Amino acid sequence: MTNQKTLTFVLMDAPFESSRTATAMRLVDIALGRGLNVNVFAYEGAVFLPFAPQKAHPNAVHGRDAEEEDHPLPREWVASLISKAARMGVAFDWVNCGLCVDERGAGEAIEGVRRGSPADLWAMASSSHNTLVIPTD
Amino acid sequence: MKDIMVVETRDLIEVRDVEWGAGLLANAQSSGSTTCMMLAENGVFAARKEALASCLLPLIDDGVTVLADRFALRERGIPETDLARGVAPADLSVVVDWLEAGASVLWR
Repeated sequence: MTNQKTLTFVLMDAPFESSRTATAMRLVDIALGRGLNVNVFAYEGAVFLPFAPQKAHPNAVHGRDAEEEDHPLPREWVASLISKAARMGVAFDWVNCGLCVDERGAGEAIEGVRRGSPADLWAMASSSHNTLVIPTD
Repeated sequence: MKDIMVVETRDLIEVRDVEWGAGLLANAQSSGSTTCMMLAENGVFAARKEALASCLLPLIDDGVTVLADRFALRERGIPETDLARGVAPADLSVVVDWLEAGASVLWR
């Protein structure tokens, strides 16, 4: 069942650094599961969350190869959210801030992520039922 | 006034400006808003009986809802039975509840 409300989440943290990334993904997952439309505006280091070249690695300390280590990759979390939105029949719009992408050379995003600008954030927030900003600590 | 939730993700004993969020909620509560402090991530450390942050107790006594994310509690090995009086365990979905209800939700 879909819900016509739209929530916007604004993410700032780079991947592999903060618990906030996992918490933010959990919130988006919950919102999609309720049938809410979701926007995500990623800026600063968060534009690397859907970075396509991310690779899992082995862990010599654990004595495991890459497959056994099963290192979580944020790009896979983003892809999973995109898939969930499609299954739920709700809108999901992930925008990477283009200025932040260019600064960092983070242009290779996974399919389903688009490039935008702060104007997109304004449009998202203006048209949403509510907006949650999750800044860096 | 709008209802206000503060999501506090930092250890309240370690980070002093957590008191800012507590003060905001106390003032909003006294002005008639419905208010909530949602402790998540390392914020749940200070919700334990033996370590309740000093700024939380007045909030609880003033009627501010204080919740602790079950997922964060489990990750940190904190049993729900160790929570201080007035702190209730909750699922993270409560944040989406407040967003859906149109409340102001501040992430700290």
